[in-house]
Amino acid sequence: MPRVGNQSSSAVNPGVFALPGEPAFWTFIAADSGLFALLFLQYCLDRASHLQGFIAEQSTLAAGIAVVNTVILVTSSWALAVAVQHASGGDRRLARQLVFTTSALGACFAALKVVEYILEIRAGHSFVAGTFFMYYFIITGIHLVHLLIGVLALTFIGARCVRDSESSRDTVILECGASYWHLIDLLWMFIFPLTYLAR
Amino acid sequence: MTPYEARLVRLSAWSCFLFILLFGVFWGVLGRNIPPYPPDMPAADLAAVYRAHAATLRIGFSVGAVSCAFLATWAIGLFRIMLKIERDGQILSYVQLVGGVLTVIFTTYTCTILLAAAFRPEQDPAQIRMLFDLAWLTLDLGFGVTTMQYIAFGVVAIGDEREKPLFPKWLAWLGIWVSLEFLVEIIMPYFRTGPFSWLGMFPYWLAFFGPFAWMTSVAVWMLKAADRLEAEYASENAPRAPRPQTTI
Amino acid sequence: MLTSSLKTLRRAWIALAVITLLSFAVAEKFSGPAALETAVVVAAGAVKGRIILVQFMGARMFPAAWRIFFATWLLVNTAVIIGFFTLS
Repeated sequence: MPRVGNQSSSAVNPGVFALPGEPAFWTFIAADSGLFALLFLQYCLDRASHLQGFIAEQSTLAAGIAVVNTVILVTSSWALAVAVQHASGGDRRLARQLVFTTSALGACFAALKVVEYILEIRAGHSFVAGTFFMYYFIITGIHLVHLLIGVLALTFIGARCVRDSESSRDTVILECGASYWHLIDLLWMFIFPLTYLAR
Repeated sequence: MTPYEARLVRLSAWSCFLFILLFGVFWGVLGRNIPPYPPDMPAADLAAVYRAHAATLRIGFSVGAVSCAFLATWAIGLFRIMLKIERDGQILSYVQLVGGVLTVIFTTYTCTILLAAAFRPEQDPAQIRMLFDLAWLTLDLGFGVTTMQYIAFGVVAIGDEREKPLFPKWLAWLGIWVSLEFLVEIIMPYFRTGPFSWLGMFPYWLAFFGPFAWMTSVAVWMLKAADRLEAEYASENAPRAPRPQTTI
Repeated sequence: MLTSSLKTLRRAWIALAVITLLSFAVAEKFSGPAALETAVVVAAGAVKGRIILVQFMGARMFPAAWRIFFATWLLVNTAVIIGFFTLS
């Protein structure tokens, strides 16, 4: 089995402080985290200089679909965390089903998001309609693109990397995919209150 | 890698530094593109700038245009190293090469288009602005080949099976991320102002300084890789100790 | 890395779902100062983020630099958002 880079996953060495999966991949996760932190900052700066416009535009945004989506997303993260437990615990068939469940829930999130976008556009709010809506579409849009990539990745990982025979490379890939998906959830934990709830 | 080739690969890495320096000073500083004038600047104002500074703008864009050739020399040296990493074929190394060389087109054109504005700045301000728009849209939306280049490099570097890879894997992942950040340029044409316009945080500051920092790091590691590959070649081709004589 | 048992994971999920619904309820019903409402919903988001980091991503077992990175990230986002919304 060819070595795949630096495997310092603590699934291999329990008790060791290490990042899950391939440590180098976390550069990607850190960069994405930084990007969204910048987006949040930029949103706050622009809101401060267009306050009345933001408040007026945001008041027309309904949070119902987003609340459902948030619950869907945290459930999907839970399913994936359980999947990773089972993958290393031995019930790889259940793990595979749970990985597919995660990507299916992710697809539901995406579908509901698209419905939400269509409703907003029908109501006359497009991403050039005003500064708040620009941020609404762009921040949730970039998040959605990340999520769709995650759905594809998890579907692939479920099919190819959660097989009955144990393989350290498969474990690394599964952990990377899981870390990426949890990042998507983590980002949404700020995006949701920022765009929908905070006044 | 033979000593001759290693020397050329090192030159190739230095050409990356040279590109960044020349493009930065000439297109960037002399060309008044750090940051660029905003899309919502009135044509008359933009034309006034080009009229007032035509002399420095012209040299900025002409040297800037020529400096883009060093992007190609960099990609070629990187290609040679990648061939030593990529197992089972060479396609991704070629993808990097082609992507890197094609990037030359967009960077060169952005300089020559702006040069056209600086060449005849007394023309109708609307035409000056049209050239400026064209230059920036060309530069920003030509990123597809550059993304292709960085991702090909990233995939190969991640798959490096050496005990100590020639390029750190975090650098490979960073390049992939930086090249995907370019995707924000797709919405840039919708904005005349703000953080998503061509001088905004995401389409400009991250999208330009990110890659320049990344390319510099890659070039540093190319120099180290050239040393290592030359040493690998030397140990593989060291003269063998003579076989002991056996007396029959 | 993932030392959370299945029971802990389930509890984490319930906490995430409950906090989500509570924040939504606060946003809908609360009629006090906007700054307070913002602080509550954003802090709730940060708490949820921490749960995801620790329970799902296994942040307790990360190398120190990464624990610091993510803790800082959570704090900075929370402070920036609440700060700007309050002072605007």
